[in-house]
Amino acid sequence: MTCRFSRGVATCAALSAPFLTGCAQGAYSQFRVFQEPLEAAVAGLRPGESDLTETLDALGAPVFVVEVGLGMALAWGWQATTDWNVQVTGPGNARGRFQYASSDERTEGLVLFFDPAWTLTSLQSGHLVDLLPKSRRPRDIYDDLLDDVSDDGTSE
Amino acid sequence: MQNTPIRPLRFRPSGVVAVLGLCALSSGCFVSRSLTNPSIPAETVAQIVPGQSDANDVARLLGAPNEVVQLGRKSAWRYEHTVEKQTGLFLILLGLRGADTQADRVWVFFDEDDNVSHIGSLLQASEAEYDLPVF
Repeated sequence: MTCRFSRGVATCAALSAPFLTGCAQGAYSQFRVFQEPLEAAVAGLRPGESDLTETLDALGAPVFVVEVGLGMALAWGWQATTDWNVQVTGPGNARGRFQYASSDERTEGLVLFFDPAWTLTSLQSGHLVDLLPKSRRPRDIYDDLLDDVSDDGTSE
Repeated sequence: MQNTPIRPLRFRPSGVVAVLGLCALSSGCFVSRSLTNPSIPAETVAQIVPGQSDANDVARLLGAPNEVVQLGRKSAWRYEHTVEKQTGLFLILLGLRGADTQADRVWVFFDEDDNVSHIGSLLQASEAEYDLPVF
């Protein structure tokens, strides 16, 4: 007796075999940390005019506050990412890994700088690690948010 | 008294196969919630009034801060409560995981005399969700 399989079934079986035997693992993850301030609220702030009261009323409490020179900086940070991860383990030490993230894993942020009278002087947005030099970052529970991420997506 | 006849439970064979198939593919799942610090009630925050409250009032209402930042001769205190909700479903072929972290956060700013000059709050901890990613 001869067993016959269509080419599609054979291909499907070959592709799923590594997963079924535990040699391959796939994961789909979604992470959200805090929330991005409303665009309209940020747009309403004017450097040279807006003060701390206006800023806190518009954006709420920042993630952190740091002293910068005679003034200070207030930072808001947030993350929203989804990523795929497939890991294949072969005989011996053979391993392969594929990872895809929907967006940069670094925390997005908004940093507002204030003068000694606590009037807004400038406003910057981008990756939080780029906006604040390492020496200016607080050492706190937000270390994870501020972890430097190298170009290949792995943490330092 | 009238007895109502008990109807036997009926399952469609295709439904049974679907449920058994899903169970066979699911090797585990989890739901977790982790909290840091007590929540910050909005009514308590409302009692802190710039120009009227001082550091003693703030400490009495909110307790010891999570962080104190010195800003020249002024200072700022941070209070924070975070909620992280995670869900995970592990199938033989694939694992799905979702995590959402939100916070109640309050920053109180003090002048040189430890009087409250500014306050900023963001109370979003209750908005954390159990959210399994879907395609």
